Amino acid sequence: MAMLTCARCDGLTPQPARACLHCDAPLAQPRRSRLARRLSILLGPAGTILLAACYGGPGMYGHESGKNGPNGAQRLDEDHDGALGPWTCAHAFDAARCEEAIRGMAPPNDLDCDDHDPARYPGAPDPAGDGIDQNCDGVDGLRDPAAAAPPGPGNGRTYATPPPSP
Amino acid sequence: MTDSRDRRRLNVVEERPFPAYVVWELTLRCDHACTHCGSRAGVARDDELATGEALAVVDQLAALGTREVVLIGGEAYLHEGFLEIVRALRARGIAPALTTGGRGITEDLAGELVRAGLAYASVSVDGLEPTHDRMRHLRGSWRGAMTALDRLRAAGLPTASNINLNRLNHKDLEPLYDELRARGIASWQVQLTAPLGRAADRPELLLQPWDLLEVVPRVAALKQRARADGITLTPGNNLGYFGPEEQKLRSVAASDRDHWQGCQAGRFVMGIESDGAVKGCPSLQTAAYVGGNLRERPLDAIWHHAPELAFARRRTIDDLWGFCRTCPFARTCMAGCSFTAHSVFGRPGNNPYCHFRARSFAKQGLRERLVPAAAAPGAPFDHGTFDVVIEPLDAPDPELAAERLVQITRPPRA
Repeated sequence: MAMLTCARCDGLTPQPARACLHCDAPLAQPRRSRLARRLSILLGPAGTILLAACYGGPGMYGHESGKNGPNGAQRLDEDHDGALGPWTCAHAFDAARCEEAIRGMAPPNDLDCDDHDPARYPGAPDPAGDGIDQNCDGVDGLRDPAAAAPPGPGNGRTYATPPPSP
Repeated sequence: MTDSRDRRRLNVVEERPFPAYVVWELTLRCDHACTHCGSRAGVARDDELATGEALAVVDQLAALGTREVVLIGGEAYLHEGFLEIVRALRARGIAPALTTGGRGITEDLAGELVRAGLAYASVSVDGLEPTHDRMRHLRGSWRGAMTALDRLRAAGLPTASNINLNRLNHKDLEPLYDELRARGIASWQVQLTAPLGRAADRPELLLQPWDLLEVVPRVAALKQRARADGITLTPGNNLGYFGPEEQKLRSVAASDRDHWQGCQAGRFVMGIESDGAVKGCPSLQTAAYVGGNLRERPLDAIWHHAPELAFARRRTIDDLWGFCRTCPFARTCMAGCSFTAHSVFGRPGNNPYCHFRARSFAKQGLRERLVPAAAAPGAPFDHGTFDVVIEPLDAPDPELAAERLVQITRPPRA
């Protein structure tokens, strides 16, 4: 059954109809070529659904961002410091496809450079001279002290490094 | 092979039916005795499939192209062959998943699940702590569920959650989302408590149809919040139906334009009870919808030839009745969720738990109220029946009485 989407309330109304069933707004009638109509049938309010069943599980899906990536790739926080490590396919259903998907991906901007050390994460205090890059900016100490973010909360801890004393 | 989203996203208009998504009750034995449990779980059935029999079923599922099997109970982990069955599913290319109350998820078991190849685990959480413990009839149950989520996640397993929504817990929806988000879930299924099994004994627990006027927009709003948080909120098959939020509710990505496409029981969904009984959906009423037993017939024969599994494949508008027969969405919706409609009226084809229907009555200043008519007999996946009273939308609404959340319609056994 073809449906029209209301521009005012986003509700669906089965064709043919001149007004939205939900908010009574006039519905724009489709005036498209035969090709467009066919495309609409293929792509329009979809014939696809997401399988689910009560007493079942809600399933897992690939996300574009956050801790879930394409093809089951994930970013984990193995040291529980609130920052996520690199993409991994450790728990992907199809590991080969997952590896292929993440191979060309750029490292995330918020990468925890050592996800097995809770003292190292982006924004961690990083005193210069100890030879350790705690804040994951690629250098020991602050790469750009003037650009340090003001102190503030983040995942239960203060992420920003206080600027050095004058 | 496709990714996990593609594995569950099916073109139900074009594809031929096959049991893509299977929910398998391994045992009815349970470490909870929930007040709303549709299968009245607690004690194992007399003749549950042994591990060897279950492993043979795994082979049959693989032959039919099954993509995902969600193991449930009771508690699936109380079946002696649980981990072996998980491993067998994984070995045959089927994604094994678990839905659990979480009480018995130890750190050791969480690790075993990862090593066995479980794809994800969904922990049932039915509200904030006081509500959940009351529904689950067990003090400490909520903390157990939350600990399970933590342990599963710490073991490296993707976690999810699910909720049965009713009058007791729907006020908890938003704060519960915050709790679950903080625990790192990746997806959340929200479904209605239908009057099935023990829930049929407690009609005051159930939402009334007009409650959907408030509840569905709240779930749709939460879905948008969840999407921004990277969490997939999935409405259960008995929630929604063609209100203005339908596309928001059913679409995974913001750009998708999905909507309800009718009951998929026996089309792409299948349920197996722990004694080998096969149904088109795990929640369908045993008495009316079992199409055969795996001890007596091969799965292939049951799936392709049992009329009890085929009802949704050949359903037409002539099978609908009541409001649903005349609804403008009838040809697509086909009266929503079959087991929910059956649990209210004793047969499918007319479903009062519908957002569009509730809105249609509300436009006329009316609402439908469900009134218990006949009690459920007291077997797993059984149901009573209800009458519908049409009354003014602003009619008095009696408050939920806590002391009446026990055995309202079914007399205690002698």
